[in-house]
Amino acid sequence: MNRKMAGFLSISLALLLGFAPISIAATKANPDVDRLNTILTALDNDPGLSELGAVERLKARQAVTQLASAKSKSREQALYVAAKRVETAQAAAQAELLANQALQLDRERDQIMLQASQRDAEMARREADQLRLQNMARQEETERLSLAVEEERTAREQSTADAQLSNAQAAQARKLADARAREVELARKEAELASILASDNVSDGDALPPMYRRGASSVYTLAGNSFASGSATLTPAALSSLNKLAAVLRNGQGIIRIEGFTDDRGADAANLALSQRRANSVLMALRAGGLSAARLKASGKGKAQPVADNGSEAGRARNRRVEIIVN
Amino acid sequence: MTLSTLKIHTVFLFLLVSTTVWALEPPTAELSAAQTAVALAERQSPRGTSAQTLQAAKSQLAEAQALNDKRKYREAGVAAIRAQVTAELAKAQAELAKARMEVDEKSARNADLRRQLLINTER
Repeated sequence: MNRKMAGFLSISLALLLGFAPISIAATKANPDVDRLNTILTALDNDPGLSELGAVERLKARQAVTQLASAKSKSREQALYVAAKRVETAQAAAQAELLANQALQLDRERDQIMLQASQRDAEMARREADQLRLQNMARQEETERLSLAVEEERTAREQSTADAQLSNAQAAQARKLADARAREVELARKEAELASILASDNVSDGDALPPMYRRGASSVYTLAGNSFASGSATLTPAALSSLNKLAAVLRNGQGIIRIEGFTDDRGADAANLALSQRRANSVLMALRAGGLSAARLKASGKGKAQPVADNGSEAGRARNRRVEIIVN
Repeated sequence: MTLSTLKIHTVFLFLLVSTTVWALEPPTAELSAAQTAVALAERQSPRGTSAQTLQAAKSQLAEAQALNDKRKYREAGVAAIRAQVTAELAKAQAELAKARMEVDEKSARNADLRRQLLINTER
């Protein structure tokens, strides 16, 4: 029993002696451990870094703890590991801090972009308002101009209507004046005709040949008895009448056509020749009365264009004639 | 020697043998962890200080592998662990440098945006 006890004590003593250096080393002040703990403590106390790099910091603390309890032969390795772990913990914490700052900068960027968008939207709204106001002003201006144009058009139409009315009134007045002048002229001619008709002898040398109107022309008719029978020689009375007619027509400028006609008795060629000669005689008489030859044109028509029935003597007498047509 | 003493001696002997056998095993896990740490650090494309740190980690890993090849397993394990922690430091440094660069770029970008916003607002 004593031997067993002695053996056990000897083993225990040996173990105690064997672990003694370890205990001594663990309790001995270790400046590396202190230095690394100081760094970790500073990291913990840094308000910006205290919550960051937790995993790396835990590894660092474990490494420092292992360093503190490391045997002398493994101290160098433990120191290396602890120093690197602490350094890694510092870098990781700072990296995490910077990553958070990067996120904050992203949020800040988003805020700036939001402000820019809001500003753009505000500017767009202002521009839209401005354009709307400009458009309203333009519409008002357009309406004002339209009203002005409408008023001007109305005034112009009124003016035109007034002018047209004035022109119509003037035209009416002119027509009225012309009608009155024509009435006066007709009255005068009627009076002349009446005076001629009042004469018993139409070939009387004291009167103009009888006249009637054919359209715009005045037609003076020299009766067949103004010539000797079958001759182109004018009677003195016819010459006198033609002389007066020439005096009347002298102031005019129109063409005077002299057309001779016969009845239907006799050969056509002879009638044509006789009518031509009689027309020529009248032309010569009018020239003698002072009319320009340029205004006079004579032609013989023969038995053409009868004005009465050739079946009676009275009719044939009326067909034998010379017409002096004044345009 | 009694039975109890024999048991205690057996236990001590077992522990001693186990420790010896463990010490003689190749540090496969440590080497693998170091290789992974180096690969992760390389993904960060380190520059400057972090590149130098990564280079140190690679050297340590190479040394660990060389020692492992020489069957110096204990030394190989020590070097592998060093390579791992060094590579992890290189990775942290590279991430820190990237984060710093990112913050600088974003700060400059925001300042530029704010300036543009101010200019456009004044127009």
